[in-house]
Amino acid sequence: MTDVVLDRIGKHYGKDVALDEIDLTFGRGVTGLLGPNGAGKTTLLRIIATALAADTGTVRVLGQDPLTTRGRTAIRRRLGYLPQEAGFPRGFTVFRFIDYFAILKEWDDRDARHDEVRRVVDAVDLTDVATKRIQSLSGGQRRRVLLAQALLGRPGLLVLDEPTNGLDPAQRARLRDLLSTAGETSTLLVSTHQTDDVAALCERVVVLEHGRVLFDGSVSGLIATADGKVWMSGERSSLARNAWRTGSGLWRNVGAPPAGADLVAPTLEDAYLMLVGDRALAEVGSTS
Amino acid sequence: MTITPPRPVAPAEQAAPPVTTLALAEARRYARHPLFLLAGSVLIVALGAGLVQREVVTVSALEGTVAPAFLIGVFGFVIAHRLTTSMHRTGDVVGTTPTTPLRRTAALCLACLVPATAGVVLLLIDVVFGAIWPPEPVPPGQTVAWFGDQPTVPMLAALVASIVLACLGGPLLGVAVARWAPFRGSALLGVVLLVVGCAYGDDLPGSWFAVLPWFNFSDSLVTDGIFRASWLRDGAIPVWTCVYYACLCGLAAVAALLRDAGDHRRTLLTTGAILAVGAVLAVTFSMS
Repeated sequence: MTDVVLDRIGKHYGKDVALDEIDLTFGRGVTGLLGPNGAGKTTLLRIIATALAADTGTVRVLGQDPLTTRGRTAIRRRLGYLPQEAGFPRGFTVFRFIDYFAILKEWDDRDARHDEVRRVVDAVDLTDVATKRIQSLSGGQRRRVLLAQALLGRPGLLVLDEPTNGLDPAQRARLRDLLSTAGETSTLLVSTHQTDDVAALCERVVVLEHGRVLFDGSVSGLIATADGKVWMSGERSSLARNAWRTGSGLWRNVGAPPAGADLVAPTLEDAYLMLVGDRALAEVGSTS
Repeated sequence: MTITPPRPVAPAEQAAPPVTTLALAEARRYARHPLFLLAGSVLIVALGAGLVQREVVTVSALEGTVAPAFLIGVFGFVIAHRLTTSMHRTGDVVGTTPTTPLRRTAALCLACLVPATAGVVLLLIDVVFGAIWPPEPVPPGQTVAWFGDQPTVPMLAALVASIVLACLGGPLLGVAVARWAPFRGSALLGVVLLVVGCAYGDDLPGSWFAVLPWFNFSDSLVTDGIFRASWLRDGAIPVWTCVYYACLCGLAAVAALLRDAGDHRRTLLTTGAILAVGAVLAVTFSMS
């Protein structure tokens, strides 16, 4: 079932192209969005989340047109959205803040609403601090407060912009558990810079750059593009696209091997770096 | 982190629920606002001190209108402004909920009934204490009741206008200013304009002071620096001033709602026009 259909979507900020007439569809399951800063990920997610209107093209979300008031409201009733950045009004405790958003999400019955708030607070592991003021929480905890409001009502479409920002490894692992479960019944779009999160969570990955789709396919498909291109050796290859010394003291060379290097299995990060790097090289070549 | 099995929870799929739940939430936020609690505390302390000294309505109930109008009405302007703009910090989070800005504004306007209720309580205190301890008669020795030798209906109208409607109008104006000028400093600017305008406007020639959004109904006799007596000032008919202030309150609410009126724009404009005509007629009758 396809919940999101984007047809030749374009968005400009002045002369800058944020999205360049892209076509994408998203259905049930977890899809990861990767791309460098300024690639258009956040713009794309904001358009899907009805926070922003596209300049060109057509958008259908959950079968509705977000350009109409009725359509927008219908989408928002089944949407959970975690923006990349958001602040908090002063004075709210965790519980009251999420309860306020539950009211905004039309949970009218007080008992049912409070049960739901307790559920999402528990789901993001904030029960112990539920009565604390948000200002007193750490950055990771605040991020989870925002995530909790997105989870209210088990939305059919979850749009999460960098959900793992500020989370420690244990919290990230818990979040993966939560999101993978949610992905069984919902359409989940997750934008992140953490390739290991995408590798761990997503069935599908979309790589954006300069507002265009560089890759759209399975995670294993993206990893396969780097097969035979990653080597470990005792020295750095001057021809490698990316190279760094690992904790073992050996150099991981992505792109080109030095003499006597051992071929190793690529990771999603290797494949992503190859993909984005190839693109950058192609552009340098075309402009020179 | 607890993962509970998915359940198809979806609040209100069709028509939007009534705005009362959100209005109650906003009313609770209003009642818990530190500035409102501070204003209430100051008034309670002042009332207590007055009771101890038996000076609550020594001269006239009209003398007690400035403090509620300032502490509840003017402070209320700031509180309502802050409540209205506080959710801006959350950015897209609040904007992607199914509750429209119009409904949020309506809820905020309804929450202004909290300070209005405080105004009613203060009015009742004024009236009850006026009955228990009527003002000193001028000249001494005459029998006085309720508001001394002042007529009851105009006195009640004056008290409703300068206490209750001031407590309602200030916050409503705060919501309207926050909706149309949500920038930092607009609350302070609004308060300065409101207070300075009312203070200096009181010296306008003839009955022109009656066009102010608030003025002191009391005219007093002070000799040798001692407060001897006060009475309803000439130049404004309290009942019509009451109607005028009620129209101004309505206009403030309409102005706030117009910001995101959507399909209700025409209805609101019509209501606003009727209220504006009503305000002009009422103030004209008040001055005549």
